[in-house]
Parts: sequence; structure tokens; C-alpha cells
Amino acid sequence: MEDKKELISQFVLEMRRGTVVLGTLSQLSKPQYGYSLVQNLCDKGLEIDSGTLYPLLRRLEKQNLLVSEWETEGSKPRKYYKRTEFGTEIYKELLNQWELMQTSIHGMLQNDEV
Amino acid sequence: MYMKKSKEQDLIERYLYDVIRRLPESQREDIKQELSSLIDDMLSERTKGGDVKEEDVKTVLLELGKPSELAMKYKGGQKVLIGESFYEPYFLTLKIVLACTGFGMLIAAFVSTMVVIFEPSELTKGITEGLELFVEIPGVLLSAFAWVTIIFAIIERIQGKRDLKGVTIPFDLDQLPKVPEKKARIPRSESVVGIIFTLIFGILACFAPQILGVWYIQDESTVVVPLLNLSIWDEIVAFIALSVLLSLLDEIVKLIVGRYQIWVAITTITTEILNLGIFAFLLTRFQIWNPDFVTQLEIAMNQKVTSSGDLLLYWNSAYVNRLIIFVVAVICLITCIKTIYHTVRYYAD
Repeated sequence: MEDKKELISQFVLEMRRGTVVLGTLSQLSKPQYGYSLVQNLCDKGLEIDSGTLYPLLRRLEKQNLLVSEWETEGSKPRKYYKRTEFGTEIYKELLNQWELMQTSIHGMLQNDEV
Repeated sequence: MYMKKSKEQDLIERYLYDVIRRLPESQREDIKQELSSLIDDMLSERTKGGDVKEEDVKTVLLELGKPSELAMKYKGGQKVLIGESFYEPYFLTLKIVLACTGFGMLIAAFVSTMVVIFEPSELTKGITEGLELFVEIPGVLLSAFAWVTIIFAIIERIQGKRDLKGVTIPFDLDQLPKVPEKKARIPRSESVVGIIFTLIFGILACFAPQILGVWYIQDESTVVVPLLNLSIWDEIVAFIALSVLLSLLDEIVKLIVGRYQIWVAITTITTEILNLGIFAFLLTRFQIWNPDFVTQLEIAMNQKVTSSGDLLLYWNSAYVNRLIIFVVAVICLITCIKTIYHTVRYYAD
């Protein structure tokens, strides 16, 4: 029983992993800092832990999909991330792919009796 | 939020340090600040702006996860000394090398302990040397382990670079290796036997050169009149070790690639030539044969062992040395030609 649960949560985690980049890019048309993004995503139903998101933000920045800026005016310094133009291009293409995938998976699942 | 350097603050700092110390210098400060404000945010979220207790810090840090794992996520993937693709041959080689080294060392130590080297005056030298060898076994095993690992780590690095290239250049079907004809294959057993012989020969040559000689029993102890000049052995042992290492490298490359192919041909031919060079160098620059072999043998046997026209008359002459080098060179040449032949055939059809 425990094994089954663990197996399921593993598969769910794998499924979710594929959506994290899309989710992250979708929220960054306006600058946000890491933790607000975590909460934002969580509020919208995509749970992701900071230990995964923070390194991801950095990677996306390195790949020029995001830019970052330190905001030191507030009570504590925060690093804000924003989508670049290139990031927006990629995001749009990923969105296309996502919709295609959704349609095909949906079609597949409807024709299949469980 | 924290006024002074409290226990809580200390815990956070230690956590941050444990993460960033694993990261490249250039990113450390930035990541530290970012994580630091993240932890701050997580704490205020938890306490709703109230006092931060040690429990809260612990919960937040546990939520962030192990420092090593967090650092790994930042680095994006694990860097390994020996990756998956070479792990299996690495392990195989390691097992063989350790077994052979241990076995060779035991023989060397036994020979050194049991067999007394002939010396006209005293017959005591052997025992102490043999006992010393037993003590040396763990050290020699350790360096054998180190050398195998180093060789594989180098191969991993070289191969890794080629993989990087593979990412940028699209995967090329024409680059797939040809399935080797039976003749072009180098069976694993061949490389394994090669490694075993190289090592046992090498260990004995390094640690028990007296094994080569004329053995006889005298007063219930086994005495050997050594064929080799043991007094200079300390000077040349490094060259022998180098030669063994080269041969080992060659055999490992063959084991990994498993067929005659350009890199195998290059390592084999290079190894052959270097080994021939080392051998010729030792034979011409050092007095590697026991210069008193014939006299010692005569004393030991209590009779004259040479008669006119006997081969032993030529003992230790430059002429014989040149002949030996010539024979070894011919063997080396044959190996090279054989390798080139197999390699060309592999590419030809």
C-alpha cells in the first residue's frame, strides 16, 4: 500500500516537473522575486518548493530567458526576475506545444476505456 | 528581525555556508544573499512577523533540504570521477588489478623470505627483505587502486569532452562505429589475460628480481644465483614501473574499446615503442645483468661451468645485449604490424 502511494507520488512529481518551466515563465511578464513567485504559483495550484525554484530561476537566467535585478530599496534586498524578449518567444512556443500535447493526450484518454 | 547574532542566526549562517562552499566562487555571494532573503521570507511567513524561534528556523531549513542537494541543483547535475559508461570496465579492471597485485606481492614476498640470494660471504640478506615486502603489500595495493582510478578518470575526461561535442554537433549516423568483424574484435579475455601477465611480471620484476636465476639447495636453504644485477635494481625500478603502467594503460584502452580502431592502434604502437625504448635504455646504460654470475655459479657449484665455445663465455657482453634488444625489437615490430593490419582491415571493408 505504501509502495503504491510512493509510486504514484513519484509519477505525479515527474509529470509536474515538466510543467514547472512553463508555469514559471508564465508568471514572469512582470518582475517578481523568488519567494513571491513560489507563493504565486502555489496559490494557483502549482506547488513547487523553493529549493527547486531558486536554482531553476538561475538556470533560466543563464539561458537568457530571464533577467534579474537586485532591489535594495525595501527592508531587505531581493532579487527580482523578469522574462526577456527571448524568454517570451520561448514561452509562446512552449504554450503552443502544451496545447498540442493536451489535445492529443485528451483524445487518447477519451478513446480508452479504463 | 534578529537583533544580535543569535543561535537562530548562527544556524542560518552555517546552513548557507554549507550550501555555497560547494558552488563556484563567482556565484557564492549572489546565491548566499538570495537564499538569505528567501529564508527571511519563509520565516516571516511562518511566524506572521512575530518572534523567530529556533524551531521555526529548523523547520524552514529542513524544508529547503540538504545543503548538498540544494547545491547540486544549483550546479545542475553531478560531476563524477568515473561515470556510468566506464563504471563496469573500471570495476572489472580494479578487481583484476588488485587481485594480481596482491598475488604478485605475496609471491615476491615469499620468494624474498624463503630464498637466500647467493653471496660468497654471508647468506642472511634475504629474510629481512622478504618481511619488509609483506609490510609493503597494503601500500602497493593502495597505489594500484590509485593508478587504475587515475587512468579511468583521464579516459572519462577525454570521452566527456567528445560527448560535449556530440551535444552541439547533431548526432551523425555516419559516425556510428562499424560492427567489427570477428577478427577486428579484441576479446575481453585477451585484455584480462594481458593485464594479469603485465601485473604479475611487473610486480615480480620490481620486488623480487632474484626470482630469475639459478636455484639450488644448500644446507637446507634455497639459494639463488641471480641472473640480474640486484645492486642497481633500486635505480631502475622506476623505469620498470613506468613500463608496466604503460602496458596497463594499453590493456585498459583495449578492454574498453573492444575492437581494433584508430585510438587502440595509437596507444598500442606508442606503448610498444616506448617500452622498447625503456628496455634498450636499461640494457645499454645500466649493468642490468649480474656481472659475477659466472664466477658465482662456479663457486656455488664448486666446479668450472664454462668450457670453450660455451654460450656462457659471452655472458654480459655488449654483443649479447644487442642481440637481445634486436629480438625484442622484432617482437615489437610484429605486434605493431599486426595491430596496423587489424586496424586497416577494420576500416577497409
